[in-house]
Amino acid sequence: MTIGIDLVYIKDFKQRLEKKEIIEKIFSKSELAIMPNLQESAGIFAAKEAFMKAFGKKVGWLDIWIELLPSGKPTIHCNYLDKNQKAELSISHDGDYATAVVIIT
Amino acid sequence: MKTLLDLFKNFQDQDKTAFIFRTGIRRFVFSYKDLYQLSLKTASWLEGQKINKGDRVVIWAPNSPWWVIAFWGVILRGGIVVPVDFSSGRERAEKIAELTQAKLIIQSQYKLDKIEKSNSIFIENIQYFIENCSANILPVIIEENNTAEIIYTSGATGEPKGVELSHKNLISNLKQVNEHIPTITKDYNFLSLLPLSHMFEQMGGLFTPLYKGASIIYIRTLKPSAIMRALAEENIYTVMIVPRLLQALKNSIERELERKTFLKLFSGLVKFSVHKKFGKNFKFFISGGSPLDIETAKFWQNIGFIVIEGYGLTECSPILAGNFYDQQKIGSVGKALPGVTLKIEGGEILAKGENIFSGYWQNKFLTKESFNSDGWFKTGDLGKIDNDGWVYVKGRKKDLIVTSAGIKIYPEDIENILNKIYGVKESCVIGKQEQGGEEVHAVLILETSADAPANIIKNANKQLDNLQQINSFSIYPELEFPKTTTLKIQKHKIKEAIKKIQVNTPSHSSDKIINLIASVTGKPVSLIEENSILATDLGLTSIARLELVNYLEQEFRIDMDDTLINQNTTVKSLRDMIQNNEKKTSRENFPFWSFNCCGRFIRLLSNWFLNYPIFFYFVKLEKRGLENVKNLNTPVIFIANHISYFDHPAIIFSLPKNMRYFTATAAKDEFFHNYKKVNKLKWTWKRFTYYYGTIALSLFPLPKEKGFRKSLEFMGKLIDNKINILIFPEGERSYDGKMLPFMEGLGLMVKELQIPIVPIKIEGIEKVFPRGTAMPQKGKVTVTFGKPYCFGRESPSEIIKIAKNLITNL
Repeated sequence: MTIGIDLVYIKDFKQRLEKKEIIEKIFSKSELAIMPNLQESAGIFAAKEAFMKAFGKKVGWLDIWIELLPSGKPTIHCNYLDKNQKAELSISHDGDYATAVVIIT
Repeated sequence: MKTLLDLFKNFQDQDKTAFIFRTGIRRFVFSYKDLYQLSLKTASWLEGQKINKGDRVVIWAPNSPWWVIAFWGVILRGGIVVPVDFSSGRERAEKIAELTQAKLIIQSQYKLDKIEKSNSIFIENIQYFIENCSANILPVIIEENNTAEIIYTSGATGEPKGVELSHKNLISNLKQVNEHIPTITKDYNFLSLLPLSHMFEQMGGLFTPLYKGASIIYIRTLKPSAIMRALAEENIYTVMIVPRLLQALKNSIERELERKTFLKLFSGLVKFSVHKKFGKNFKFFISGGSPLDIETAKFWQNIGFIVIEGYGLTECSPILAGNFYDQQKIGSVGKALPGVTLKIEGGEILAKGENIFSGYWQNKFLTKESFNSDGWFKTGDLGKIDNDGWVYVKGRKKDLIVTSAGIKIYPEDIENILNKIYGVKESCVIGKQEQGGEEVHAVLILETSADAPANIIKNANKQLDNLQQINSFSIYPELEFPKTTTLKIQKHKIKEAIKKIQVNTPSHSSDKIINLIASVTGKPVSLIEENSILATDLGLTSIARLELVNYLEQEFRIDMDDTLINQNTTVKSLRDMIQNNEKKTSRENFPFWSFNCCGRFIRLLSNWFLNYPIFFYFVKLEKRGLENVKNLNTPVIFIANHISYFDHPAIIFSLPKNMRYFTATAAKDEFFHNYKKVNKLKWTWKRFTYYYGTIALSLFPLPKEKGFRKSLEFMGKLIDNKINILIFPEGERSYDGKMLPFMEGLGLMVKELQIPIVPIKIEGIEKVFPRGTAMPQKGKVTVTFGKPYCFGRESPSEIIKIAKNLITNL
């Protein structure tokens, strides 16, 4: 079992990454469709970073993606996980910060 | 032709290509007929949203065919389009929506900070909204004096002002422009680089080609590498451009020439290599928005490309004057368009014509101020007209900066923000002449207790819209600015003075890479050394890393994967990375050539003499459901369960002949590349299977190390070339014929590629050649094809679930 965490300063996130060219490098089409606002976007970004920390190495931003269950709970998926591996995700944001924790078992 | 609707009617029955949309992954083609149908459907959806005549609809989205479809949808409802520059921030878009009391806001998912209002939708979803809408609706009746658009430009008081343009204004200018430059035909391909929210791009790059039946190429991102690829691959004839972009293109060509010094020996070779980059039919640039400097104009002239410079203002729909296709005068903005009258009064250029607007949105005072008593529009530009009618623009009456990107900026707006920042005693914002045109420059006088000036500028830029950013600054060496007796700052004196004092950009070094690292990390240039480690020594976070890579891509015209920068990357290794990347000429690591006629012929031969006899010696093949694939009019992804090495030939030989040779099969990358060169024999065998696989079996690797994005790009290219893709989503062969879980990437793939899937079920093969056996047995195999299935807004996991069920239920 491995764990990863990440914290994003939302203002910095917006100021540096608010460009179409960068956005399409980080987020897949299906993710863009579930990002209603800046906070959620920062949360999804944090989740991807947390995943890489738990996974132990850098992988392409688009090789990891987040989906929402009908209940609204986010799930995280990656092309590099073995079929017997499972990743769990939790995201939170408040004010200027968004954070995410990923556990891979 | 009196209104935009009259223009729209021409689209009805044309099969010709109107738009090509290059997303980086796919290349979507829209015909005029498609544009016609989709716009009507959008109008019918808008009717359901209660958008009626005169209602304002904000479009805050990047250029794409869907921008145009949304535009016509609103126009067909008699609505008023309010385009907002996509590079503007949420605050500005929201403000404009508020000022126009917009009934609907069409925004884009490609923005992090979005408008959260119940009347806002995503432009990316329009295609789903209109799926079930009828195209049989009658457009609302429109008079030529009805307003078609309201376009916001900066206002002097910080409040943006909305220019109301009527159908008559737009159609008049369209006719005038095309009478002035009658060169454009339906064969032209336009590349759209400037935002459609600017009238210049709309008139020159949208209405004109649509009027002439030409084609427009939109690209999803304006990365220099994507622009160059579009130029090379799309047979472009012309682009609308602003001096800033023309300057950037010039710099990038010059830098490339520096590396290829041998080229410079022969000027003919330079021309040849540049012309090759722009494609064989590239004819001219149309430059507008701000004055073009003479040096840049001459550079392009020497290369052999015409630059047609024009002059106009949003208020004039927008073009007033222009050079000609066969005659240009460098330094002049050309002659007045037919139907436009220009005159000089008190040094100022005044204009009259049917293209000139009637007023600012709900602002009678400003409207009145902008016309003289005889009804001439006061442009605010100073100029002269010579005896032959050539117009020269000599500057501006008001203190206004027009950046080389064609954006108008009122210095007071920026000064007001600067003056509020702690430590700023006085500030004065001027337009500073840079290569290519004017840029925003701030001159400061600070209190002794003030923060570092670079931080003050950073702070101000944070508060300013993206379009108004301060580009450079300097500190005024005196205690006070020179002023008139009425205490107005004498800007012309300051302009003179700063020519002598030091000008700072937020970072300063002669090396571009170091400058970029400094500005991204906030570290002073002096601390950045060749062996500094980006992550630890310079504190490069992953967010900053993405930003840095984006700048590098812009600056060096490369594609770069940011995850290549790791914990050990130093400034030097980054520099090497960039240089290697720049040198790389072939971007095709995938065996695309195996799909040309030669490759197909080899496949035919190998099937006849090898694959076919072996396979059919063992297998009696039964095909079911072929009627489902016979009349496909689009390429598809075939997905099949995976039991045996014979699955692939079983499916390929089941396919009708016209599809058999136009289907590529995804294979695991490891299958080809897993062996290192240690074992010579094994390595040779692998190389052989690689070539045999790619040519004879049309396999292509789904490379894991190279990342998902690259595989997607390759698959997109296959599909655009009408080649189907066969995937075994289990990723490995099942031992007992029971289906294994699907690889999750499939869902994402289908989503990005926007292509239907066709399920295939293979049965019986587990008895013929099961996993773990070396020799096949004789037996019967059934291949069943299901109906094509199109996905819409499903999530990747839902797609996988559905796909699996489709196979199971066959």
